[in-house]
Amino acid sequence: MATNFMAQQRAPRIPGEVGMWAFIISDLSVFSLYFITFLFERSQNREAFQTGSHALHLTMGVINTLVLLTSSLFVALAAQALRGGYGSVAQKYILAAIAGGLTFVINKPIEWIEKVHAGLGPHHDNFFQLYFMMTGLHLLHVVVGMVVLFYLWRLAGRVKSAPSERQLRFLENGANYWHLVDLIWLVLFALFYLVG
Amino acid sequence: MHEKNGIRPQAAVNTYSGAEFSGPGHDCGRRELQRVPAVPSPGSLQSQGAGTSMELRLTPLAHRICLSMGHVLTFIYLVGWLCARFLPIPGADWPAAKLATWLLENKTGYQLGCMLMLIAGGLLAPWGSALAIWTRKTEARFPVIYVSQITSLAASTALFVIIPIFWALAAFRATEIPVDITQMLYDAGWYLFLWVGPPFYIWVATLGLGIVLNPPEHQLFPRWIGFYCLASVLCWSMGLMQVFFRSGPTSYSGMLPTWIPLVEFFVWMEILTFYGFRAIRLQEAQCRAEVGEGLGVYAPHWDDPLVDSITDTPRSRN
Repeated sequence: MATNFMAQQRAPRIPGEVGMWAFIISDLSVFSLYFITFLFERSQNREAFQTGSHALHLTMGVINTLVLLTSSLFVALAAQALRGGYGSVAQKYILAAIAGGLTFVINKPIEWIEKVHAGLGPHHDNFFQLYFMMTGLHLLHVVVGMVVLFYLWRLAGRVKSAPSERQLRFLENGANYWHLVDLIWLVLFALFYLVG
Repeated sequence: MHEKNGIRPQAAVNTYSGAEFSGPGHDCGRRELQRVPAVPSPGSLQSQGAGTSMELRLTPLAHRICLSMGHVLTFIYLVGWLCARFLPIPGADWPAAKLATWLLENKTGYQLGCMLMLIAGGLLAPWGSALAIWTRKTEARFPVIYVSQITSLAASTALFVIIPIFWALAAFRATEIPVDITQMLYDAGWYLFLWVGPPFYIWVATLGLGIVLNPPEHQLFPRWIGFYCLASVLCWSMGLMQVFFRSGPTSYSGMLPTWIPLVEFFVWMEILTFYGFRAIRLQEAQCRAEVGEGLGVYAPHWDDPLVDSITDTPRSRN
């Protein structure tokens, strides 16, 4: 009995399932190619990229970063609560995470519209072309993530005691996806707002 | 063995390489009633209305031929791409006269390349079918994802072969007709190349969902393949963005809509082909475990008797 417990403790375990990690690795690989494209284009026209970077609203970028990081924290707290069987507590945390995602979804178009009105639309130069396309694809990830969070919220409502293995797997898969969205944004923020 | 509604479940679940699975043609939609770790006898299968025993065996040769079209498609398409000299791709920002001259100068190789891409496009259907068939059984009698997959695959194949037709048309009378018409036909080819995405997305997403949403113990693909399919769809979706740009990394000659999805598509195709062959091997192991007339693995042999066309029975050898 004790041996089984020790074996379980030692057994390597990844949160979620291997398939979700395949998704994450695949998505990150594709985004890495986008980042390389960005750096290549930047090396071709460093001046335009620096001008473009300075034209972006750094405060807005920082706010968006903090919002997503906080949202990720809430998802992690929700996972912890759900593992303990506190479904209603997890639901509150997930709602807070959804609020964070919603803030990002509202903030981003405001930032885009401001840039377009300032004459810095996607056709302005390659910096803004990449800025709109890459942050746009990321926004699509955020929207998908919010749908996932909604399903996590529903799942949390059903958990009254310890979650089943299947529920736990779904929860961890969803949380992993939301952290992926966060991670991609961190690199985008660094590239466009700081390095550019 | 338990019975429900007078129907005896017949899923033959076997253990192979540590994973449980059952053959796609063996459960005939009754798998959901009960999972039975047993090998059915031919008699029991026929008494349950599963059809003749001929319908229950696997013909791996046909599967392998269809699946190998993935390798053939990749090879022919990429050779066609090189023959057409899409390396680099003449961009949307090229003046029409420059494009027409370029087409004229590379006419033969370009048209040969288009022809090869056209041939490769037709191979998408057998290859996609060889994958789709493995997700068919997991949905049992109501295969809505499978039907979506097959219809989207058919649409994708039809669209895939149209793309090089426009590219070839652009070169057909290059410099003999107004150059802006040549450019428009060339642009139309690229629009099709990047904008026929949605049926492809649905096809691959449903393939992925067919693996992820359905019972894993009956899948012949690892679950991560399903997730990988979904991630690939996200990667290819960038192709739609080319409509907004005529130059730069997001135009149709750029990295984001064309090069990255193109490379990812063929890598995905090769990985799926590899795991498709593995699925056939797993199914072969399953079928070999079954015994009885008409069951198991069927491979045509030179020594097989000819079949009488009138009685539909093997002719006796005199």
